Amino acid sequence: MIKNVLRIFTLLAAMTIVYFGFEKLGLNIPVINLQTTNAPSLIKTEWTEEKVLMMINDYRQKKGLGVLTPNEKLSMAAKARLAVLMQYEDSLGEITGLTREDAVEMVGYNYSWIGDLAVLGFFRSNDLTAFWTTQENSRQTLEEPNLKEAGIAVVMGGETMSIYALLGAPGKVKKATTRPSSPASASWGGPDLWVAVNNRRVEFGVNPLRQKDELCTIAAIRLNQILDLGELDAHAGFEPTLNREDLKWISEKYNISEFLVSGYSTPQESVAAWENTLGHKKLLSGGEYVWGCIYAQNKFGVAIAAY
Amino acid sequence: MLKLTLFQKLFISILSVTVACGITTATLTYQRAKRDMFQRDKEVFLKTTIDLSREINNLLTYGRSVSQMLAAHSRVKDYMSLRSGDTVQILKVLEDHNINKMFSAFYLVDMEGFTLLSTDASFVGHNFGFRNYFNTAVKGGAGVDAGVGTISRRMGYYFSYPIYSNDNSKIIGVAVAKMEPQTIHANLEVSDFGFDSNKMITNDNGVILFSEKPERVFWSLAPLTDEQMKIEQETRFINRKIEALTYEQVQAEVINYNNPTVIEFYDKGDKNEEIVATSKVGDFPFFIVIEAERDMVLKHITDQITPIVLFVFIAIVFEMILIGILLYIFLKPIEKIRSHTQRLAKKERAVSLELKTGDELEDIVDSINKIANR
Repeated sequence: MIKNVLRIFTLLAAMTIVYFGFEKLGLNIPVINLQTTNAPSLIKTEWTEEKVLMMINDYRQKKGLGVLTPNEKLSMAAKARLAVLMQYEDSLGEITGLTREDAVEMVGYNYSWIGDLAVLGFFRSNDLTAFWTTQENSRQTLEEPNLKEAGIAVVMGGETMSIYALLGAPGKVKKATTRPSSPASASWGGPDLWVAVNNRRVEFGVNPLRQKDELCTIAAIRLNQILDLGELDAHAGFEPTLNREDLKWISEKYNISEFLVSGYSTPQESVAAWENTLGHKKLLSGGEYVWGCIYAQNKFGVAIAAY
Repeated sequence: MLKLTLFQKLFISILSVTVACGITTATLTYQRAKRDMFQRDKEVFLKTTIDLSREINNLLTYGRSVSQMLAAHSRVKDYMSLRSGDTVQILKVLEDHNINKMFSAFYLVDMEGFTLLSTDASFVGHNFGFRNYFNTAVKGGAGVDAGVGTISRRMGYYFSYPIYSNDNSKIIGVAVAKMEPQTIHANLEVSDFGFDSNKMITNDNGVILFSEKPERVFWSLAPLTDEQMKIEQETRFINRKIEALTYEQVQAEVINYNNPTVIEFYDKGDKNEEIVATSKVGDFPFFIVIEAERDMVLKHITDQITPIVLFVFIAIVFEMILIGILLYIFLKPIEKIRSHTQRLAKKERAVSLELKTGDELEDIVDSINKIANR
């Protein structure tokens, strides 16, 4: 009995010595954290032209404005415009030569007022009107009292959707139009996301991340892998990248975590997505992270954080 | 014959043996330490070369990844397909990839080599179809090269990647990132061996791109063949005269590279023995070369060993002083015994001799006292 107690005690003592011995010698075993943030996808909300119009009208009614009625010609023009936007992101007609006004006139809709609303690659579960009201031009269009009719085009894809709404008032004399809506698109990049992440870290009361060249190498390689794949890889490529013979020294030097995001229209939305998922909030509130690097393009983002 | 006291005999004997052993030990230690330290310095040389190539490899891998990202950007693809678009937005996309300010320019080149768009406006309209990196990328590869800019006349590391059409059916252009040379070269200026050395980066033909001795930049390690000279002058250094050092063996190591190596050879140019370590930078066409004069390395070693040898001699001197003092203390009773026995020999009335040493001398004195008292 006493012998057994002594054995257990000896074992515990040995484990303690090994543990603290490692720590004292500075032998940290690298920790690789795998974090993915995909867009919120618990509920795939179905969106139709009718539903979008109803939502716009709800908003207008709350603001004491008149409701819009569906118009077939505007609907045709909206479909044509959405196709142009999805293929070329050409909101001003600079690439294709097809402006919003051209599209409306081509279907024979005579207008005195015209305005539009657009989103591309927008997650179905997100709040559409809340997003449009954050865009000054879109908010003005939503709240324009002279508008009477609407034509809406919706394209659903995977977890995202693209919507284009043409709002008009019939009339022979063109009195006014609102500025064409430029859908939030993939024009934001790594520096934008870097600033957004660090701003949020400061708001959380932790240090902003400092850039490290070697971490940028990993971020760049990983983003290329994801761009090649066309979707997030659930970190499948992260560990093999760290274990590459020529890059192994980086993971031996730092404890590295990877955070992925995809599908968001702005860096702020991407940060919000990270913040709203438990494992990923660490990127924004984790005081242990000292260094980092972020690369982003085509709505994919890779954040590498390390200490 | 010289008559020596017991003290003198013992002291001289111990001194002779100690000095002889000391000199032998010091000489053997010196030779062994010199040989081992020379070997160690060569290993440090090689390890430093490998470490530096690893760090440079990281930066070059990064550069290559950035050009790949540029080529994959939807706005870049659209622009290259349509040859029009929001250039302000596209330039922002290009500049967004310069997050560490390591690059001096990003540019998009069409299939004929003409620059369509660049963050450095002076590049636009110029043809880079003669550059190796362009020709590698239009064939579908990732190009990496170093050379002097035709417009800026400044050195740069170039990374290129093919831009594919949106349906990936064909290559429609090339995305190029030009990295500031200081980004890479600064890594070579940090380590110091404690003796004069020269760290260099060469390309695959042995042309020196960076050297801590700036006068060697754009020299080759050894004379180039006509074909090599043509490549260097037409695609990399634009008619610059490339003179040659006399490092034929190092040049051979670079061109027929297998593994990191350290070699010793006689430099006919400088007329001295050289130690040179060479290591390739990952799978890139660049090499880290570190050189030092053999004599300088040996002098550095001698400077380290000499204090140790001096210390040995100082220790011998102190040792002899201590041995002398101890011998004097231990042999002092013998003088007493000698004068006592001399008086006994002269049949003088002797008193008993008192000696308390606790050793054989005390026994001898006791025996002498007994004999004298009979």
